[in-house]
Amino acid sequence: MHKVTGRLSKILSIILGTALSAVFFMAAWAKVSGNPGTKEVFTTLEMEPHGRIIIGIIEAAAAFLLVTHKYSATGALLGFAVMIGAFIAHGTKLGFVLSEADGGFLSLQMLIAASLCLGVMWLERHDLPIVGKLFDLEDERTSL
Amino acid sequence: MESRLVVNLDALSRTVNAGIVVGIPVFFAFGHYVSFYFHFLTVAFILLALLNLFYKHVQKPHTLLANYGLIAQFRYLTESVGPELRQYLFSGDTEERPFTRIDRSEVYRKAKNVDSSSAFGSVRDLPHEPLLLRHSLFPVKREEIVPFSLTFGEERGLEKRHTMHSPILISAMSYGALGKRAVMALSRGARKAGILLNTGEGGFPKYHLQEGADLIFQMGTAKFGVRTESGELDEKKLTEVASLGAVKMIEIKFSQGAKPGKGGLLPQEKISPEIASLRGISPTQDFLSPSSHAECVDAASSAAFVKRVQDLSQLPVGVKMCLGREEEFVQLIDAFMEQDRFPDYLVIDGAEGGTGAAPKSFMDDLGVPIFSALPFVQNHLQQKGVRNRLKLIASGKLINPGSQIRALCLGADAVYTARGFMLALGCIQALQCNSNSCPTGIATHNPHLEHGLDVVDKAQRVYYYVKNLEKDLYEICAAMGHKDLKELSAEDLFQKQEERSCTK
Repeated sequence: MHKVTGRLSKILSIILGTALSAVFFMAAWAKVSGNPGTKEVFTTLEMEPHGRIIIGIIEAAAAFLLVTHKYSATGALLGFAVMIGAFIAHGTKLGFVLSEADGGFLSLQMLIAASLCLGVMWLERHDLPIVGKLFDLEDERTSL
Repeated sequence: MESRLVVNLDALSRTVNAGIVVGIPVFFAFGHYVSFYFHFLTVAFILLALLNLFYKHVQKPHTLLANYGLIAQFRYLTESVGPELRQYLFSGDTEERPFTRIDRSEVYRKAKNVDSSSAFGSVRDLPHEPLLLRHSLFPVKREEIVPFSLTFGEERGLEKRHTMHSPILISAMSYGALGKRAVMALSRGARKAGILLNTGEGGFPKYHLQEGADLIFQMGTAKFGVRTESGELDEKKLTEVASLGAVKMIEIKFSQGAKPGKGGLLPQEKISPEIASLRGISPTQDFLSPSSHAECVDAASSAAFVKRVQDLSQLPVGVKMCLGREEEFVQLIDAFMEQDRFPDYLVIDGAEGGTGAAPKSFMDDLGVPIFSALPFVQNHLQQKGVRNRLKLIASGKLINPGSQIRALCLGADAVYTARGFMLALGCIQALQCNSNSCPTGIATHNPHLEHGLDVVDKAQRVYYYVKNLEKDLYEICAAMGHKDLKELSAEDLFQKQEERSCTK
């Protein structure tokens, strides 16, 4: 990869990763600490309390991995998986607009987080688990 | 008619790939109607389906992944753990290469100073080697054995001659090829065992010096540490190195068994500022090591170069080479005779030599093996009447007393081993010496991997390995009816009938 673009994408991925990490950390904290809103959501899903805690721990792990140097792609993948689950939950049980006050803001937040996760996964694709090495080979192939 | 059970990979992969896609709605339904927890599986299957899509339609480098999808990953997974599985479970004790498990475990046991004797007969088919040893009906008593002693430089009447009291030397391994802890453990062990340690062609031997062993400074074709910018000998630097008290001898490497006739490329990423300063090269560009010395273009110039280094250093100076063309060796000896000055010792490295990264064919196909080269060299030197002008050291896969004593019988005065000492340091033959990922922390600079290599413990193993080798060598020598290792000769060898040409 060209050096300048390489550096730019690294900076971009650090910025995105840190922002995502903050979002996931807050979400994890709300779930693990038992925020009434999240308790309500997980009661609807009939996953209270274990599901709430499990998802909280996964989000915390994603938040932590996103700010590491080598495993940010893994963190983004984990976050992306949680977001898919969240979409299923909102699409089937919760609805995309939780209340009038929310006005669909949470769903929008989800969508943004999922896209940013995809963004970090793409920027750090060489570090993705299992498939990362394929991108190295791909670079070599296209450099011919 | 098909007579055996065949897995139709194509059909299997289609089933698996369809199963992944079908899994999504199935688990989705379970998640919706039974318990939301099933959606963990829904998400997992969505990711698997995406991965499959990527394998089959996006990535290009792997044909099998593109054709079969996820299931082909099993091939790569199992292939990647193959070497470990074979080593742990499936390879027999005499199958692995370059060293079989029984060869290695003998070294490990010697290095740990535990009993290395075995029982109930040899597990090999005899004769497993073309050359076996003859014992005597009248073995010598152990107390009659004469302790080994060999003095380098006595032929020229040098003031700074060096006397060894062990027939074993640690062969060339540089700092760079090995990590610093491995070098320090070797150096400390060598000091304790009182043997010489070769620095390898790694430039100024900073870490080799740290533990106080007696050293042989090796000058490779790039002359790291003693080179001018253009790659010729820097006389001032050489005299400085030669005046270090620990440096007892200088060795000029013409070629080595692992990659005879080949230079090397040191990529810029591997040239740390420390390595650049020790080797005397630029840290900002790749370094191309030449395949021969700039001063040596033919036999006469090579002989003159050896003489020049001898005069400058005032130390015993040796030459290391892997035998290639016999007539070139003859010419070289003629050139030494003409100038009436011989190197103080000659190292004959067999094609079996292994410490050095090289294209596979160089390892496999180039150079004369040690047990073919040694008799030729010995016979030629004797025929010319110059065998008493120099010492002869053999090297190349000589890690066990059996192979070492064969070399002594075929004319060697002493034996070098490098990999034997790597095994003593704890090498598990993971074959990753050139990738900086050595799992035992020997051939790596990764601090996490070096962390496990305890200098004190491994130095002790180096010491025990030497002492137990010596013990076995003396015992075998006594069993063969000789009081002194120097009495061994080709007459002490038994040769398989069809391969009699080797020593005759």
